[in-house]
Amino acid sequence: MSGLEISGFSRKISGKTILDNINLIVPSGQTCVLLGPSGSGKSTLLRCINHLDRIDSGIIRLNGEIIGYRQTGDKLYELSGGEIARQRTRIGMVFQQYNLFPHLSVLENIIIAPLKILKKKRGDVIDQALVLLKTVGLESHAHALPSSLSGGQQQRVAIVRALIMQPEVMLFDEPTAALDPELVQSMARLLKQLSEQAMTMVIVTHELSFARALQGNVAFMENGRIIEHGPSHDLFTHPQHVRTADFLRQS
Amino acid sequence: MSHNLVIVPKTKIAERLATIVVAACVAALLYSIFKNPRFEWQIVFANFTAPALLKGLLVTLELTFFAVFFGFPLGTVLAAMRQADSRLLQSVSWFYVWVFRSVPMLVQLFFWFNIAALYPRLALTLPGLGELYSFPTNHVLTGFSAAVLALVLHDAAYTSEIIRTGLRSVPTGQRDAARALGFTNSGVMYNIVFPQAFRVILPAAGNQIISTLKATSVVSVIALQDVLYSAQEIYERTYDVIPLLIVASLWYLVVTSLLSMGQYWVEGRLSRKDQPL
Repeated sequence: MSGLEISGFSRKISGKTILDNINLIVPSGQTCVLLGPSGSGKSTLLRCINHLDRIDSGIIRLNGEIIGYRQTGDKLYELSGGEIARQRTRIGMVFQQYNLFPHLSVLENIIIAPLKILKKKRGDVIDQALVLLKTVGLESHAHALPSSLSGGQQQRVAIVRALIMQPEVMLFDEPTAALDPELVQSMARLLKQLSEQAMTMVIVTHELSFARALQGNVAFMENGRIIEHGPSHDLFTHPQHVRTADFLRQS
Repeated sequence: MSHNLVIVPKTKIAERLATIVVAACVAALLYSIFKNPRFEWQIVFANFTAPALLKGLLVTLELTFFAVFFGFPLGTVLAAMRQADSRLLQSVSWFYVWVFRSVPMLVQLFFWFNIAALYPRLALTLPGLGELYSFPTNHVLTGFSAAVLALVLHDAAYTSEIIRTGLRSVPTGQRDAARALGFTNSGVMYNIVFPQAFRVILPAAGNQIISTLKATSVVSVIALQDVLYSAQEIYERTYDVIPLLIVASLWYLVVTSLLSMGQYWVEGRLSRKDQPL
């Protein structure tokens, strides 16, 4: 099937269960919001999707292809560094702290991966980057260094840096964690635009108002487990699980 | 009327006083240097470009070059070992740095110069094939190669710490972001980590090269004819101890200044790259 398919994901770190038998399907073009208190394992789950963190058991498929491993018989063999790197070009990720490269200008941050990894032509990539920068209102900052931008601007650069690779899925780790309150709604609008362009997205957040502003499915996580999963509207108005209801009330 | 008032900065009395005192000291020092005939400046100038000294200078430069040329790659390997997952690689690297930073350079030099007492012959032996090739240690470890070996091994320990500090100065988020974009490990290092680590490594590496240059002077104790030993050879003949020590010092000053200028130039180029394109 097309989309992101996670089944039986588990991960332990020194005896402590971080992820416990996670099953999640994000159909192509849809948005999945991973909601939950901090320490519930949602960021780890996100990092496992593009194999930045390893899992102990389980399997993940992106548009049918297993990520990070090759199946031979009943065994999964970890792929080589180069093969994993190639798979990661199909998965865009935006980090909580954005992690822009401070030694490169905004434009260089955006074009470095398509130039060096996808070996695209410099002129084409620059044109494409400028178009994308314009859609997020940052075309005048193309030659600025990341350190001269505000947090919200840096984040939009990080999003463009991921989008220019034309990924099949976008992962967002706490996109509102470092934003001023008034920027949270504009972030939600930007993500909605992406969703309208049929981008498959997984968005990790612990912020309820932000999660409500997004459309799609919500998975509520606690202690490394998905406790409840369903359409955003249903989960927020009629939570099925008592823990979900508690979380919605407290926040 | 306030715009007509003259602004008078406060008087820095202590600083003025200090300036006068220091000026007096400098004047006294200069007077004594140029008036004291025992400095024998004419001998300094006469010997500054003596052929034996220039040959010694060349040896000093060669020793510095080899120490840096082999020491930096070895230091890089040690730094990489320290970052490896294998506990053994980590421990060996840690142990190496601990030993070679703790034992004084002079002692290490004596060790390598006398290594033949420990291993009289060096041999290439492979299991099953026996000894393929062997030769007396003293044929290989002459004064010069013993000195190079001591300097390289000593330098590598310091260099590995410099490189390790540089690599650690790059936050893990940078590696994560580069990997998430699809860079392979070597691509992450080459495109993202090294360019950032370089800014931290470079000033320290420059200092390290300068201290290596100065450290080469210890080889005079094993009668290796560097710039210091050449000066000593002359003054043992002529008894012009101070003038020839001044000559050697002036050469160290010249080379160190040139190295510093090179360092400033490279750092300047790097910081210019910080500016937007």
